[in-house]
Amino acid sequence: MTDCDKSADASYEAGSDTSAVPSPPPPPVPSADPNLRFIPSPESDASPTLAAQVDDIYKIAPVAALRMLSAGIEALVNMTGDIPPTPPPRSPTMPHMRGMEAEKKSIVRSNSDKNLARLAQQRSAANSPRPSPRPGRSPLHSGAKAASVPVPDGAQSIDGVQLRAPYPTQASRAEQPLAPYIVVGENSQPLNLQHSAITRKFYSRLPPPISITEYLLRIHRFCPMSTAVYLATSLYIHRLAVLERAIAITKRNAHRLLLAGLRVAMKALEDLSYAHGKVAKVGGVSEAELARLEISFCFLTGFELVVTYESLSKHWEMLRRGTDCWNLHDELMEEDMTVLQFAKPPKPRREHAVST
Amino acid sequence: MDGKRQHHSSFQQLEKLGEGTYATVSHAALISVFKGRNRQTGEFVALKEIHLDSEEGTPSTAIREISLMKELKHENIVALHDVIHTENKLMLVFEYMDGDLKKYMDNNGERGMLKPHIVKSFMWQLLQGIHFCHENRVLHRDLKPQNLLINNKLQLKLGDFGLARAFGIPVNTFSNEVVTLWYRAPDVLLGSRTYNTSIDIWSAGCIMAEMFSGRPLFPGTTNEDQTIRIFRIMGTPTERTWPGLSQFPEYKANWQMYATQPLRNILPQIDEKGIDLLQRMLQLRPELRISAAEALNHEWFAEFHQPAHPQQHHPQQPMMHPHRGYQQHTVPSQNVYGNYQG
Repeated sequence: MTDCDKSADASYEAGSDTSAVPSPPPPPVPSADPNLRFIPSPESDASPTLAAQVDDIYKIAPVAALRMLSAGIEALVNMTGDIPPTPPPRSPTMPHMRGMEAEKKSIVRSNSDKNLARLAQQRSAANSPRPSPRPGRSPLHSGAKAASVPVPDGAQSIDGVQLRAPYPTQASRAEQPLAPYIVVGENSQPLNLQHSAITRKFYSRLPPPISITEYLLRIHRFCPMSTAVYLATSLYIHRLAVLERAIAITKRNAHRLLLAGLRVAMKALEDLSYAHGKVAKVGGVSEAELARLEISFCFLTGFELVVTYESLSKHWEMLRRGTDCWNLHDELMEEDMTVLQFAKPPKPRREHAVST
Repeated sequence: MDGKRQHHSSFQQLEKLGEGTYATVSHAALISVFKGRNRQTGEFVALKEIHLDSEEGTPSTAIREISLMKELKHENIVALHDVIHTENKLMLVFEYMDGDLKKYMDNNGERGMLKPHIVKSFMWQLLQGIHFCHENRVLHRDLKPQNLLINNKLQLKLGDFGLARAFGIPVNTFSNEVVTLWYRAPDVLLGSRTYNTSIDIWSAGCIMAEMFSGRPLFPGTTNEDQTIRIFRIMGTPTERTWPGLSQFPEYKANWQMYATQPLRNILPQIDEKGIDLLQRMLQLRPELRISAAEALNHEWFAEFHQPAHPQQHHPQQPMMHPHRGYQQHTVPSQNVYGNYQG
C-alpha cells in the first residue's frame, strides 16, 4: 500500500511532500458570495418550451406575486373581521415543537373551501358595526396610484412606519432554579397556553396606520424579494389561517404575520437575506421584536417551511381562483386582478384562425 | 413529531461533543453540540445548541436545517426528534450517532484507509441518503466526511443540513459559495449558479476515493489551486470536451493543459467496477455525472441488489435542474451509462 501511495502521489503531486494531510478547509459561507445580489431573475433565461406552459410560476414577476399575496391576506382579513387576541398567558412560555404539533393536531381541521365560503357568508350576513372592510384610509394611502405601479413614488423614509407602542419588556421572566445538572425542555407549558402565547405576539392593540397593501409595497420597495418568497409567505399564512385554523387573520395581526412570514420565507428559501436591522426598520418594529416574531412564526408553522414548485403552483392557482369564489368585489382587488392578467399567457385563438 | 404525543420531554445534558460556528457575512452564530439523555426514555440524543441574538434573529442555517430535516425522514439521514426554544437558545434534538466518517477513518482505518467492503457499505448508504434528498428536491451542498455520521452499527447518515436548500423554485439568490473546497464540483469552482444535484455526486466521488486511500483526493488551498488539482488528474477541459466551458465566469484561456490520468493508477486499491463507478461520479461536466439513482444501480453494488426487486431504483431518472438555465442544451443522453442490471 505504501508503494501504491507513493507512486500515486508522484503521479500528480510531483515534488510536493506527501507526509501530512492539511487540515480540512472551513465550511463555505453561501451568503459571502460577493455577486449574490446581482443574479438575473430566473424568468429571463427560461427556455421557450416553458414559456408556453400555462401558469408556470417561473413566469410570474415578483410584483405580481406580491399583489396576489396582498389580495389574499386582505381577503382573509375581510372575512375574519376584528377579533381581539386571546387573553394573555399567566406565565412565560417556552415554545416546544413537539408540543406545538400535538396542539395543532388537536385544533379542529376542516375543509378550507367550505370554511372560506362559510366565513364569507358569515361576514356578509353579519351587520355588526365592524370597521370598514377597505382598510388603509390613513394619510399614507395613495389609492389607485399605489396599486397600479410596482412601487409607490412618494418619498418614504426607510423607518417611516411604526407598528406599535413600546413592547412590554420581558424582564419579569422568572429565573428557573438550576437543577444539579442542566436539563433542557423541562418547563413545558400546557399546550393551549403555549399556542395563545405565540399567536399573541402578532397582535397590536390598534390596527396599524397603514393598509396591508401599502405595507407590502413599502417592504417591496426597500427590500424586494422573489416570487418564491412572496408565494411561500402567502402559502404559510393561508395554511395557518385556513387549513389549520391556528390563527385568525385580522387587521391587528396581519402586518406582523406578513413581516415575520416574509423574513422566515427569505431565510428558508434564499441564500441571502437582508440585514436584520434594515428589515426591522422597514417593517416598523424593533430588532428585538423582529427576532421574536421570526422565531414565533417558525414555531407557529411548526417549521413546515419547505415549498416545492408544485406546492407554489397549486397555491398560486388557488389564489387566482380563490379571489373570485370568495366573492369580494373590492375595488383595490379588482385593480390587482387586472394587473395580474399579464401573468396569463395570451390566448392563441387568432393564430389558429390564420393557420386553418 | 414521529406521532409521539409526549408533552414533556426533557433531556439531561451530558458532555460536549463539539462546537463550531454558523458563519454569515455579518456575524457568526455559536453552535455547541452536546450528548444528552432523554430523562423519560433514557435514550441518548445529540443536542445542538444554537444561540439566538436579537441582532440577526434566528440563523438561516438553523431555519433551513430544521425545516428540511423535518421533511427528510430516511434511515440514512440523521433524524431530528425535537426543537426546543429557551430564552436565547434554540436546542435541536437529534438521534445520537457515535461519530463522523472523518473520525471513523482516523480511528478505524489503516492510515485512514478503510477496508473495501466497509467503503462499499458506506457508499451504498451515502448514495441512498443523497438519492432521497434529490428525490425530495433538496441539495445538500456540503457533503464531506465530517458531515457523515456513523454509529456503532456502522450505519451512515447524512447530517448538517445548514447549507442544504430546496431547488426548482423561482428564487433570486443561488450562491456560488457552497460545498467545502476539497469536495467542490468543478462547475461550482468555475462560477456556476445553475448547479444541480450533480454537485452532491461529485462530493460523494471525492469521499469514495478518500475512504479507499485515507487522504483527500483534491486537497486544494484556494479556488484556483483546487481547480488545477482536479485538472491534473481528470484532464484540463476544453470547449471541445466541454461545450459552453468558456462561458463560465472563472474560465481561463491560459490553463495549463493536463492529460486525463487513469484513476486506476492513482487509486490502485479500488477494483475495476469501483473505478468505473468513481469515474462516472467524477465527470467534469455536470450533465455527464451519474445520478444517485443510477449509481445505486451500478454493478459495483450488485451484492446489495435484491434479485426479488431488481427495479427498486429508477435508473433512467433524469437530473433535476435548479433553474431552467443554459444547461438545457447539453442534456445528457440517457443511454450513455447503459443498464447496470447485469
